Amino acid sequence: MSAVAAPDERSAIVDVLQSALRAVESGDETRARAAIDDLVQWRTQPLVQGLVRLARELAVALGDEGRTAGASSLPEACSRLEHVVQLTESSSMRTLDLIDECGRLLAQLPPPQDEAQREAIAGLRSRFSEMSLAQGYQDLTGQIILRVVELVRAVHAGLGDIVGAHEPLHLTNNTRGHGPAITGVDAEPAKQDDADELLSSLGL
Amino acid sequence: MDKNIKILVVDDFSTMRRIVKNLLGDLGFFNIAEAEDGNSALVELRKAKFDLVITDWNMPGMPGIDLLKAIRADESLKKIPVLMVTAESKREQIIEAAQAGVNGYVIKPFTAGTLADKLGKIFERIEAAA
Repeated sequence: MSAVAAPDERSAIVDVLQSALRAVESGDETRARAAIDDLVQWRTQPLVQGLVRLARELAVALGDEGRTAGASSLPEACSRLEHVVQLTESSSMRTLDLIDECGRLLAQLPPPQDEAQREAIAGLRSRFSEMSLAQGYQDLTGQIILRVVELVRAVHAGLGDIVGAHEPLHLTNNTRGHGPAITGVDAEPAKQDDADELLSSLGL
Repeated sequence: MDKNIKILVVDDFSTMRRIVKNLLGDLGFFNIAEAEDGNSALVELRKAKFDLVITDWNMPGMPGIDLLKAIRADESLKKIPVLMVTAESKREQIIEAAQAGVNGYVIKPFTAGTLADKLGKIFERIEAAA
């Protein structure tokens, strides 16, 4: 790629273009292709350099300054995030266990003697139910974190063969879903009322 | 409403399966099985007769929308009501689920009241159709 490294960019491009033109005119397809590849290479060089710099900055941000292979910290970042999901899962499970125990303890109390006791017990029951439901945060935060993990993995895979195929970095596009919408990042999500309205307009 | 109906709860997060099970228990439903994605749900559905499927959308393996489509495409399963309980909240997704034949759609985070309400609607329709 001598043309790419030439200090005088303009004359380098002229050279490449002329060589491409000559190759096309003389019907030398291999040489024409090589010349065009040179041009593409020249064009994508800043992009590649930008990506490599980004990867390094990312590595520094992740506290990996001393290491040579910047991209190696990306799988580690994924592991850390997955650990958060596991940690919140076990904490949620522990909370749900305690809520179950409270329910059992409540059931062991002698029958309520008056309305106030009855109300207190019913109030406790409904609050335990709310506490259980509130543990749903683990699912919601987990979905968001796992989506970021998927993105970081895609970046890592993309950086791995950046010199090879010029595949754009992207999340696998399938029907799997996107997880919860994040305010300020995603489009305004539908609320339960919107969903109800939409479904009833569709005859459901 | 028959409280003995068999319900399959499908979600990749064990916490959410447990929460939904707890809420169903509060409503008097205790005949509940679990699956962690569409593929294992289909295995369960073919093993025993279920009266209702409550499924998440975003799951590794087979997502909920594909499970719904697989259920509707299967002669022996297609009549089972499916309630989607999901954080997926794009209008196109709700429409896609409706077109695929969903019976109810609950957006996470949800309240116990919303779940009970949507279940009630599903049972009402089943009873009206019977």
